[in-house]
Amino acid sequence: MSDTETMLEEFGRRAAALGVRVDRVPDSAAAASTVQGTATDARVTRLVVSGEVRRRAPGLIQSIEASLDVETATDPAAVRDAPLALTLAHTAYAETGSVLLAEPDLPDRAVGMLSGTLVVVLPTGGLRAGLEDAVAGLRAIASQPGGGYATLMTGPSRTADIERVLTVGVQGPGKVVVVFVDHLL
Amino acid sequence: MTAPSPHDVLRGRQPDVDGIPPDHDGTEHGWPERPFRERYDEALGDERLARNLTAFQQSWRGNRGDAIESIDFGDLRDRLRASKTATIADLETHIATFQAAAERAGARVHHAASAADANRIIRELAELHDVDLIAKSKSMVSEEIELNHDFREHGIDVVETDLGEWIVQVMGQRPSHLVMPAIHLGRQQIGAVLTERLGRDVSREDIAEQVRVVRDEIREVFFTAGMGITGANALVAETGTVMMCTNEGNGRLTSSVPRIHVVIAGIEKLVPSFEDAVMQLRLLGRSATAQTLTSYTTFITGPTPGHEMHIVLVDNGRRQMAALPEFREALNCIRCGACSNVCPPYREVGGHVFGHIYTGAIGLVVTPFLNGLDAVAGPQSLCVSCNACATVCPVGIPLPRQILDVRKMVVRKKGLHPAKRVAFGVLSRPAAFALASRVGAKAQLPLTRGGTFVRTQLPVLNRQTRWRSLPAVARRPLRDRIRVGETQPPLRPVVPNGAAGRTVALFPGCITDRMYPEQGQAVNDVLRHLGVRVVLPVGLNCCGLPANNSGDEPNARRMARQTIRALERTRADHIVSGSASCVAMIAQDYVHLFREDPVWLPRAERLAARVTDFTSFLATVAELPAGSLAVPVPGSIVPDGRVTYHDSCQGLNALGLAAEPRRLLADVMGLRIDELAESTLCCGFGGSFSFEYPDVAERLMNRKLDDAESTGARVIVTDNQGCIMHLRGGADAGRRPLRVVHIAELLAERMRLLGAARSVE
Ligand code: SF4
Ligand code: SF4
Repeated sequence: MSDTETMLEEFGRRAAALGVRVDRVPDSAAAASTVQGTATDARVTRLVVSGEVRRRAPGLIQSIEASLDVETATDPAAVRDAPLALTLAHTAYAETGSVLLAEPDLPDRAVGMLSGTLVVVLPTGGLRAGLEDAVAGLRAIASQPGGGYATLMTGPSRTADIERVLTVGVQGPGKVVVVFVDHLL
Repeated sequence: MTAPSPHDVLRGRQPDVDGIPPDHDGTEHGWPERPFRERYDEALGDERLARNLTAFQQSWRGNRGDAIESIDFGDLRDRLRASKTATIADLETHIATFQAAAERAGARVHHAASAADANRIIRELAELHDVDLIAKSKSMVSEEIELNHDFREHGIDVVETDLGEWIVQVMGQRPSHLVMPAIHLGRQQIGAVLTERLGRDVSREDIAEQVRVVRDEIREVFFTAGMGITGANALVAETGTVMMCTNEGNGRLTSSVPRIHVVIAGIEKLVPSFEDAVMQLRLLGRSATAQTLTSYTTFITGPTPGHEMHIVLVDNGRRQMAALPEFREALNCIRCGACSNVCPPYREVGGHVFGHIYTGAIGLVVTPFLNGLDAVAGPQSLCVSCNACATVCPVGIPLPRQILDVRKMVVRKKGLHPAKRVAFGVLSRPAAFALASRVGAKAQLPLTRGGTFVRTQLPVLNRQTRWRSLPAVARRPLRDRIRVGETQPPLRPVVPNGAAGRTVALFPGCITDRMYPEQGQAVNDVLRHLGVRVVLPVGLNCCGLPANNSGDEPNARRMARQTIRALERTRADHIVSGSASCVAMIAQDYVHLFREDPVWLPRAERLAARVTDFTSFLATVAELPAGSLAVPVPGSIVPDGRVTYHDSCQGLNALGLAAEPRRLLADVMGLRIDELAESTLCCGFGGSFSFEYPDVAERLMNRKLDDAESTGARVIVTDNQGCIMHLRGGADAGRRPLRVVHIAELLAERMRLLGAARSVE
């Protein structure tokens, strides 16, 4: 197995244990199908996207727009309790099944914070092995002029505050889908 | 009835719902706290509390065990400890680096010397921006400074947005655990409170529904609050970044949606770099909730565009701690809560009793500095010195030792209990102790009728003794059975071993000497049958452990000096004790007792290097061959060849013995070990603890005896006389079909048999 395959396998195992669905697809068209499939499962036709994913993966957004009403996040109130949202991850880490979301702008951040189901896409090349590999990225994000806001997201929002019984979906997304795209356009 | 707003919910009075113990004195904010004894009695009366906490501790242990399998816990712990220690040693430099970087990124850094300062700084910010509603995510520092209460008095509402925190806030309580604030509550209580507070029916059974209801109540606050307050799990100096770990997602919303974001953090949260932050992450989630990472690990550098970010760095006693070598390491704490999750008394009474605002072991240590010594005077006395917390702490804080240092502070301020003053006065004077023992041995006869237990109940000690029989004082102590100061010649070794030809000085310990001389005799005989010369040194007395554990430093030192003097005279190759507690005291605690004494410290250090416990001596020096004692013994203590092993706290947690005794039992003696369900849990003795807190001691003891009975084995083996005294007493009073023996007694019966066979040959 190649390094990527090994990392994908570990990421998939870790993320699945947290209830995250993980897909690997060859291109943006296939990624669009995954998003559409998720929308069908959730019985929704509206998709809120971050400005970042629209800028960085216009091809993907275009493919999705063929079947869903795509809305770009403008402020948190508009995103509040959106059933389905899409964002772009900076990198992902096999060791923990985490994706790193770099979200300096509030509307983009709101997409990952306030939606019910969150689909996260990223290029397959953005998958790294261990958390020490996150250090350089975190340092770079934090060193930008004006600082930054980054989150290592590891599974859905959850609580076990009442009698240690696990309940997913508190203030953050209750469902997370991660899609690795070999050629993300 | 219209549904109340979040403001109304929080302004509500103490719920008056059946089954919910009120947790405060009836004032609206709930503080000052009720007396410790009152809280203690109430917690003991709440059966559900201990049941919940027991289930929590049991599942946490298993899950944490699985979670740390993917890391080298010991190595990571040592590295994180070293990194945190170095950071605290140069704290002001790291604070300055952090401040410069955070301000470059657009945040403002404030310094709060005290709790009042911190509250004032944040309140002035709120007033400046006309804020009357604040969303807050979990922050123990905000609890420490009683921010909610302070703000309420100034007409500003603070709403907790973490689910568990919100529930305890609504109930007018404090979190009872650093990580699981509502762990003391059950779903029925929560459902009842929600129904009452929200004015509509909320399920008392369906936790998912309760979560949904609370989540919806909180959700609106993010959008209406003018300020969001969060804590920090680390402050990364190199970039001025705040690291925050949450699971629910409320921390991200609190730090993002309101226009003013205030971070409140203790100055000890500084880490130099992202490398250090990642190292902390690898241990924090695993230690806290057995997760590899929490759902959200957020790194915030500077404000959200168009917003303000303020970082309040709180001292409030931390610099004072940093200046004290005894307590400095407590600043390494990463607030994972693991120390509560293994603590036996915490399990029985919960965090509202075992701690103050910070709960569990670390709470007992930091509270004197953060909230005053009085706040912890009662709770600290509940620590049974079992050392379990130290084994799981991901930064290796010497918590049990620090708790004893707090206890010594309490004793210095409030004095020692009169009964202890008398007892340690006698114990520390060898002639008086010897006289008391001999008088006791005679005076007890009407109560013991020549047996090994004092079974008669004394009304005055009913609570202390109704559930256990006390041991009789031996008519002939060990010192009358073995000639003191005379080296006994070795016997012909009954098995090939590495100890033959050595000389051992025996330190029996005072319980063995006076109560269980047959166990000291067993150790003596085992050593001699290995071909070892054994001497019982002149001048032995108590090692001082009971006084040390009670915070009586002067008498502990006095007994330590007696022991050092007596033992350093012997030229034996090894000093061996059959009491794991005495060995932990001599080899570990003496050095701390004499840390500032240039004369006695080197003597304590030299002695520490020579002392070893009986089990370790057999494992590392004698190295008995497998099967060498697997012989049938007529009339054996273990007729069916089955035993269970009780790990004494000092043996397991202080001396690190786990495999060694099991190897002796199973491999060397060929016995079958039926393991106890929670073999690492304290039996509840703890010396004077079992007299001060008999209810907790009884519960822990019965749990241990129940577990032992359910193994099917009828013999409990251990290596510590305190546990033997406690468990034997409980087994006798409860008429349980259990025998409790020292491991030396099993070895001795085999060696005596082999020795006798040899002499016939
Ligand atoms: S030593 Fe034992 S009783 Fe004391 S705080 Fe630690 S775990 Fe609890
Ligand atoms: S003292 Fe150690 S175990 Fe306890 S909360 Fe702090 S880091 Fe965790």
